[in-house]
Amino acid sequence: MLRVPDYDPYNPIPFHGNQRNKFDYYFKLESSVTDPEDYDTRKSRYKFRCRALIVIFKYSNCKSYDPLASYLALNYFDRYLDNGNRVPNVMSCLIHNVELAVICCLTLAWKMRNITFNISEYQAEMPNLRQITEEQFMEVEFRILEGLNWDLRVITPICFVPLYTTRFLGTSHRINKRIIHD
Amino acid sequence: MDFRDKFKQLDLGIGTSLSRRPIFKYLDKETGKTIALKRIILRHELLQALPLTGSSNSRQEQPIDVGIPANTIRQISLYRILDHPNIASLEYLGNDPGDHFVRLGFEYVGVDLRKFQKDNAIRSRHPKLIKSLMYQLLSGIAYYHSVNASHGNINPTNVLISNYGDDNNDDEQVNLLITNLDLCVQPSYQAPEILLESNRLSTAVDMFSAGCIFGEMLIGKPVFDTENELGSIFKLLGTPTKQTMRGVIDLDEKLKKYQKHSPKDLSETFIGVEPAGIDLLSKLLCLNPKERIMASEALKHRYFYGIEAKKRVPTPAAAAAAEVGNSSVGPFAAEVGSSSAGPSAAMDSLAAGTSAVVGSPAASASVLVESWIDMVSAALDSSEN
Repeated sequence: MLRVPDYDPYNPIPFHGNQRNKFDYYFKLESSVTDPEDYDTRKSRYKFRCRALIVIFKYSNCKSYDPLASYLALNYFDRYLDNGNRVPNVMSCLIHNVELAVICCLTLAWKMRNITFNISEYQAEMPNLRQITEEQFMEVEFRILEGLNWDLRVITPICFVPLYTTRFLGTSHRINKRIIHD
Repeated sequence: MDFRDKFKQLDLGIGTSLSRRPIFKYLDKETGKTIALKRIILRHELLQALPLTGSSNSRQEQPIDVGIPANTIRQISLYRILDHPNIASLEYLGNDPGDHFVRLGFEYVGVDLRKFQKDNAIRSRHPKLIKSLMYQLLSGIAYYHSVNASHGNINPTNVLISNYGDDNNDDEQVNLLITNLDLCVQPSYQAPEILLESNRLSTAVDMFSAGCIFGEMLIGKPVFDTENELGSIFKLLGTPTKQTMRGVIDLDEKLKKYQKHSPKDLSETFIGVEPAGIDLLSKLLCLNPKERIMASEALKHRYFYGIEAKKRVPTPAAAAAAEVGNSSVGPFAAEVGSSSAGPSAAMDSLAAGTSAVVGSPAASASVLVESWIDMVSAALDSSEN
């Protein structure tokens, strides 16, 4: 394929037919997946997610900063674990394995958002990450992609912002489009 | 399950790939479906070694890096969610031994356009059939373009014709599928801006290729020469100038070796074609990509008056998907858009909270956003009072 553009949070999935039905289609896709009932009660899952938030917060603050990439990364990490996958074991201890998995979710998200994103340059910017080898990046990225079934063009609530924008605008004169998008 | 256990290779090869490997069809032993395999490279160093043609063009955007190439990730994640009656569905996704490649198995139904034309020389020239097939081709392309993606390799080997029966069958029942195999084909069916090595490419590249296919259907042979493709494009459409291709490419150096031609009247080359068809063809084969007609507009062209999209016959994959249930929208529907972090996590993240987002109860975005609207509106209204 010649060109697949950057992931557009408002238009992630191809749609054919009447554009008025587009949001119905998105709702249908989104509602086909629900969270596991014990999502917030599993202790290890809770710890991993806390760690993921910290790692994403720390390592997303770089030249390639993109708030949507951070959000996508957390989405990928959650879905990877929810699909029943184990954290790839390529580092010396569990916590490092979790951190590398989160960082690879972040690199995958950046690759979806910015075609020019380059891991080598990112490592140069983040000295702590220089110890991660090329093979480790390769293996963990691949394992995450497999665990996610390569479904990186996800429907998120952001897709529905244009739908609700008009409704917000009708509720109060103090809300304008800029506030909503911010 | 291992690939060899799941699939049986069929005898007939369908061509040679850009990397000079034969491409075969395989029979899925469980479902009885036929697929054709495409391999996508996972290693940057291998990507650099491939010839710069067809769908591999995107490598020019990717410097050597570590990890899996961004364009590979984007391509596969798009293939996973494609769900359109005129686009071959992805039926298999697996690893190559050594993890240097990912194997993609696309449904393969019927025969490719060139074989269809060869085996059905008279029928394939029926104006009504051509109109129906072009409508389906443009519908598939419009679907790619709906997310601003371009197929990038529209040519007769990537256009499959099925359900054509014999000469007495209804032309509107004939089905067209766009697939995306990297088969060698001559001429390349690529737009002049690609052949001129412009770095400002857009989805318009697919429209020129569609124009080449339309022309080939009308006259029963390729419109442009195999040997001197760009020269023959200029011979028919006129040699571009700075004015006709403004802002697309610096032409001074690149056009030196081409003879200057004036554009020909297409109705003299495509004899007997209705005026609306000639008009659409001229808009598809427009040299300037910025002025070339786009797929969504082309579908509304007067050439297609009387064609109804809903009359198309569903492909076997689409029919199978329909059987799964109304909630399913494709072979991988259950996984598409699986935002298991949940909409509430998104709302929390949007609010820039960190500790609060650890829990994520199940709920749909619509319900959450509705309640959020009410809450924000109430808060603002009370602050105004």
